[in-house]
Amino acid sequence: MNDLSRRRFLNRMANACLGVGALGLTPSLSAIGAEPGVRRRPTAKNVIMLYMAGGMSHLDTFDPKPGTAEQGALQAIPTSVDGMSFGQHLPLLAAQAHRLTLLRSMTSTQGAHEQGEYFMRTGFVQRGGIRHPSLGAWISHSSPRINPTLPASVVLGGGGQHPGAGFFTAAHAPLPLGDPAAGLPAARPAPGIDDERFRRRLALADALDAGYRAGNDQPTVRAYGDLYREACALMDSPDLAAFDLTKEPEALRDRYGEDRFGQGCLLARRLVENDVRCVEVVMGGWDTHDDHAERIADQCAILDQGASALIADLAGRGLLDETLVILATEFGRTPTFNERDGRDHYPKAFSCWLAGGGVRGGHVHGATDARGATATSAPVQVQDLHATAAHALGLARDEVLSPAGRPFRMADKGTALTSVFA
Amino acid sequence: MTLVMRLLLPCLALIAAAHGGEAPDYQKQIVPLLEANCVSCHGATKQKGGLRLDSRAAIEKGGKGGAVVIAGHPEQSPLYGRVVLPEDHEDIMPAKGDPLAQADRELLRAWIAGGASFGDEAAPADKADAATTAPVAPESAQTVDTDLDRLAAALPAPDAAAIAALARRGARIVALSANGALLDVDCSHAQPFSDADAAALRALGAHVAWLDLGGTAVTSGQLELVTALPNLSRLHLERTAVSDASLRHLQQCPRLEYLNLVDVPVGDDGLARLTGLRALRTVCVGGTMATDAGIAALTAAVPGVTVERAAALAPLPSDGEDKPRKRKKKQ
Repeated sequence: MNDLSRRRFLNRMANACLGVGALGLTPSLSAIGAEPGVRRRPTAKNVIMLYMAGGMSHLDTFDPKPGTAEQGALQAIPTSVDGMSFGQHLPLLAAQAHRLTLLRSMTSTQGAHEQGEYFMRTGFVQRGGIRHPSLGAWISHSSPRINPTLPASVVLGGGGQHPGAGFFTAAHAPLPLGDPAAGLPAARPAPGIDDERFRRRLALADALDAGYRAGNDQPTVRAYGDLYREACALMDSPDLAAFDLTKEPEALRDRYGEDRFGQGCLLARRLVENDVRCVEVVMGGWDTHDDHAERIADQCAILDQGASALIADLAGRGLLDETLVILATEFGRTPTFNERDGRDHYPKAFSCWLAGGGVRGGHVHGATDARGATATSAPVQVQDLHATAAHALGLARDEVLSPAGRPFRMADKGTALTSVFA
Repeated sequence: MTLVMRLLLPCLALIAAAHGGEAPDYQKQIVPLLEANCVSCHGATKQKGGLRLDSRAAIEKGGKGGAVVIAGHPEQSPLYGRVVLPEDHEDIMPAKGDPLAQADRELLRAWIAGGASFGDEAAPADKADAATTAPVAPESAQTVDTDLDRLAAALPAPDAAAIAALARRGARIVALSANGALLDVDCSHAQPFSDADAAALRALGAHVAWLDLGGTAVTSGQLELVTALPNLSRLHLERTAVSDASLRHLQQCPRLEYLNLVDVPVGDDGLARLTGLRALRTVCVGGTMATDAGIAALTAAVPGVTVERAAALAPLPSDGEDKPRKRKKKQ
């Protein structure tokens, strides 16, 4: 590479780092004036999805049936809302019940973890030959990026199975982070690599790529270049501090809980504060096929502490009003116990909840029968949950074509639950 | 009853009458009061005296000493009697911290005196449904059209030069309506806030529906810019240094639904300037000097408003067997 091209490259890098390059801080009227993604005035700017991986037992959490044989050893407790009760191990969330809309009539068609998770994260049933985008990728694709340096969506504590960007380009992929307390890994150049050397390395990589790029001018190839540019912009940005949980008071960190889920909830709050549109916080361990009562107690303690802190903290900062919090899981668990004192997978009826983002508080949508076995009123499909998120964000759900030319729209054929909005 | 109490109670009754004479609303007024002052010891985490005050059933059940509320008789109800004891009395509630503010004591008294009603007997879902099917008409004679979507349809396209000027200064601008006429303008990343920014916002005028000035150096004087924003419905002022008096400018924003004042050096005087904003739904006052009385006055004046205080995120109790606080990291 000769001096001139390197200088040009550095110039371009500087542009990207300062945010004055391709991302553009001088939008034309056409860009603002005819926003294709906006259908209606949003009630929420951001979404935080608390994903309960493994299948959360609805009977022991948000849809208890006290006094029935199905309830088992775990009892129900009253909440801050008259007539609404929760499982006994959720006292802190019970005190926040007036901020929640319970969806007690969730129903899914997928009874295995991988397919169930995929369905809940994408709004589409898993099929061979196509990978659908996750909720965060749909949001990223359908709406303008508010913070140009931070990724549009982040997944905290997820496994390797996440559908991610699906058939969208890599630019829409959620950033996966394993340990929220560890900050953003590799966000600083390796030891001994100073700024100049880092730029030289980038320039070299760029030169090596240039030939391939020139011969393969396609969106997917360009997207990888964008990804590098965005990563570098983030490395130099003050927004990087959003990932740093040590900036929070120790007492607050403790209140969220020292486990990954609690710290993930805290990081989710910091990220939405910095205009990351969608954050998924994953909590595993809900696959309670055995020792149900004991394991539910442990699980609920973590969920209760982290989620209650998140909701109270968001509310106190005025963020809950514009952040839709969704508690989701792939399915519920059987009303009956198996021979190992556990409950097995049960997609026919389960519970999720919504909070903030223009959604009512202290509201119950739908119900199950006396055994928690069937959604008897206002059943909610998984797609409806995605459509409700799109509704809150004011997204248009326009048809998009997959690379193979097949048409899809966000939330598939789901219907938004407009009655849950205040 | 002490002499002081004998003299005080009729005065309090008069205050109640001045507030409209209606018994306070359990969900809107009593629940927040109990949450803020009582539930940390009489709630889900601790049940001092076997008493919980975080649900209707629990309040009706009472504590180890029996009933805490005797409807119609505040003086015989421990829920009221214990909070009006002299400050140095060993039985005064809250046991820790300051005694209840006068306005809060009066709220409790008026609620019990008025029959300690827990509101509509219907299930919560039914209650909420009723609320949507029969929207409460604003009491003000001059009703304001808050349907921003309809307003947007009638607005011309915003001035491209004004948008470009703001964007160059670092503001993030997003359309909120399909025709692009309503805007969400976020200046919170564009510090410092200058007169030029204020002028650019004024130029966008009716197009600005959401405005984020959070953490900027916007001054009390510059806040006058909101008088040029008739369609403003959400305003972030958190972590700014605007004054009580400057909040009077918001009276020109009849569609204001959301106002974030977290960590702003304002108090009751500022809140008092918001009482004419009938569309207000959420006001966040954490970290301000607003008192219970000022908040109660605002909620009484603006039907349907929720005032969010600072989150009660005290550390969980570390005593007891069943403590979720200290836990090893999950692998």
